[in-house]
Amino acid sequence: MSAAVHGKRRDGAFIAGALIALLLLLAVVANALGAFDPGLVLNVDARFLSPGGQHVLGTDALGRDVFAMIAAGATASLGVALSAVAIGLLGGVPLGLIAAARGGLADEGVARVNDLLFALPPLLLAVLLAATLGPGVVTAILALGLFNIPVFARITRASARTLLTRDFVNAARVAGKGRLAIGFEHLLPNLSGLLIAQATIQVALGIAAEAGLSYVGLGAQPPAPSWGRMLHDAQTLTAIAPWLAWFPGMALAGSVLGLGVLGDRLRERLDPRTRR
Amino acid sequence: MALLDVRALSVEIGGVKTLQDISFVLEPGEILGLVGESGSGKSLTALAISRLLPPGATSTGEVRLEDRDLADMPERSLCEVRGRGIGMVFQEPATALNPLLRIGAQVAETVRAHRPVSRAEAFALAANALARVGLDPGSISPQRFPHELSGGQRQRVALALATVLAPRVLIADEPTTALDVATQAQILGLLKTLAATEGMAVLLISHDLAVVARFADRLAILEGGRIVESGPTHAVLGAPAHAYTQRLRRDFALGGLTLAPRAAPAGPLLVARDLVREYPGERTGLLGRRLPKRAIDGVSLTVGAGERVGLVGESGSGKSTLVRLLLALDAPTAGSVEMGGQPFASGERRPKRSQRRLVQAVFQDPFGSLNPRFRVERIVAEPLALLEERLAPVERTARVGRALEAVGLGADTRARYPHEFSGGQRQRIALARALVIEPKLLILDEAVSGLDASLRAQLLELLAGLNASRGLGYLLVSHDLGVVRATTERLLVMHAGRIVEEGPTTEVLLAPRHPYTQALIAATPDLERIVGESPTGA
Repeated sequence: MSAAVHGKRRDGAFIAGALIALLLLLAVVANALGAFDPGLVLNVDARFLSPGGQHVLGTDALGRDVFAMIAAGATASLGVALSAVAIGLLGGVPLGLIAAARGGLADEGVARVNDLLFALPPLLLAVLLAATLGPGVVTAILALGLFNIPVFARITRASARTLLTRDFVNAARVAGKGRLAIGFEHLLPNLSGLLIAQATIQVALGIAAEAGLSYVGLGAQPPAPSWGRMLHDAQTLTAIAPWLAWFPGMALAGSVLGLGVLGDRLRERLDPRTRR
Repeated sequence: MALLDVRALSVEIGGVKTLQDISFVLEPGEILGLVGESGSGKSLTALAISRLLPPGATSTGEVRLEDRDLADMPERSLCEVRGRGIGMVFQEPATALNPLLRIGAQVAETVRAHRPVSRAEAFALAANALARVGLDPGSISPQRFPHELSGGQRQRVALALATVLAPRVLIADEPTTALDVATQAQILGLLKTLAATEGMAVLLISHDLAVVARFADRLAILEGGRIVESGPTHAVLGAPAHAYTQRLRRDFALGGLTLAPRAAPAGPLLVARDLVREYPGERTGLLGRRLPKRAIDGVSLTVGAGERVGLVGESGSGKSTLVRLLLALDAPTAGSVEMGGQPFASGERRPKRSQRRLVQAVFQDPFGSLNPRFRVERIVAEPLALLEERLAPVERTARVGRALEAVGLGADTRARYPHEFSGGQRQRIALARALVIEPKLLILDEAVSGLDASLRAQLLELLAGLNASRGLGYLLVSHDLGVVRATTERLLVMHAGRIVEEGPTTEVLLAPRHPYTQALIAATPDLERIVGESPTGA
């Protein structure tokens, strides 16, 4: 009885998270197709319109449609977060596997580099990168991506180490399988659930971090719309047009929360240890 | 008057009757053995008696402890009964103790929860209880934490916890299954002493017929949630009346197993010379050197083609490390392994495929030895990669089919995943994988230890059959003397990283020369010997 109720509640959160992820993807696709372009045109006559009417979420100081800006801003948010996660996966998973399989010095080395990266605040590195590469999307992706590497390296190493002690790995070695084959056939499929779940959570964190970078001017550069910069621009206008802060803030909070919950639930569902 | 009187106890979980009409009585000072295979309802019986059933389970029937009916007692009084009336000990000592509490404090806490005594008195009682179970405060301080103790010592603490309030009844659910035979003999001996000296009644739950035969006064045999036979131990095991008991008795003694006569001795297949495997040990000081720890200390052995060899030893004796070296899964610190007359890998080099084809292995844990993401077909086909040429899909399917058939699994199993199978079936799949490239030698590392008697008998009979029909030799690693007696012709005894005795199996078991072998044999309950002896009024 109670288990069924519990399961239902869990599914509700799962569906909500999945819906938000879907909405974000839709926004990115629609933006790529130019669906929001008309709303992004400057139109000073129509500035500071309250929400409602033709502009559902109102307009900003330059007369752009806030809904269109938020929808188009999803591209920067998701684009940066996804690219950063891709860097984290491509860098972290092989490192984690090598550390787990080799042990000894390799393991120690990966662990120390992880510690080093964890100790550096991402924002500082972004400022550093921006100073050398100039601010922009690429800088944001590199800075966030670098900090995703230790996250994935750590969970990969930990899970791979326990998997490597399992007898099916021994059996594969007795069957003559080499390191690479064991990594691809036995370790990765068993790690995939955990990695997918962690990746979802990292996307959520990435969206928040991208907004933070844009807020301080280190993310997507104008005129590309971005949630962080919308929040930044809204700051001085809260007395005149508070909705300029409300809606991007809600989009940001909703996305981060939704994806975070989704990742959490995915981890529970895909990890055999917590599945039952 | 009976101490514990269980009448028509039934348990239903989700509309399914999992226990039916369980009735038995326990007299003071008596040990009743409750025997059955996994899933027969042994543990459920224990939980139903102490009314600790999981949510969703409902029980009917009567459980009377000294005239008080536990069935309709409120939870408050039940808490009183558990601990003071009924004590319990479970299989896994590591999880029964609080890792953050010193063992003395842990036992004292139990005392104070039930009796209005001062802290000092509680600690004194706790020290007494620990001393009584053989944890003398002089050598094992009550100030120790559970992780500072061995498995056997932890089980002693659990026993002290269960007996410190001098309960009238002790329920011991597989209390020694996780322990070595020597420790098992000590713990069960302790139970017997407690029963005799304090008049405590013990319900000893076990899957091991030999254990209950040695320690229980009476037996109740459980099958599918019913007691199919009960009576004095000697009567039940000496002349089992029920068909299930007879089968259990035969399976346990591996009575259906016959070894084919040994063919003419062939040349050696696997030769190990002076193997040493060291691991980095503890540092001697803050900056001190790490003194190496020797897990394998100069082991030499030979297994001939088609030969049936046993290797026994306790956990920690280095058996599994040795198996890893023999399979070239790990490189020895010194010494060498030869497979088929050539060196079998050393250091970083991978062994030749032609050598890998000669030997395959089945490991202990049926739940860990199959990749959960693969279908059975792919699992069994894995060693086919060792063949020089790639097999055509038809031929591949045929070989997997033959391997599955050899272990008694139908073709319908191929497309299924490991989690759809029971432990015994999984071990068959692991065996099919080992057989698919038709190796000359099979190394079985405790491969039948976790299985019920009937499954164990089936798997070992299968192995003996393959030996007879294909000349498959095997090295059977086990802690179970009964298993090696029935399945091997030559026996190696391992202790502290060395082979301490070697010889024909029957000779070693009948007339062991090394003190360790003698102690091992003395500690192992031997079903045939116990049943063969006349019942004495012990």
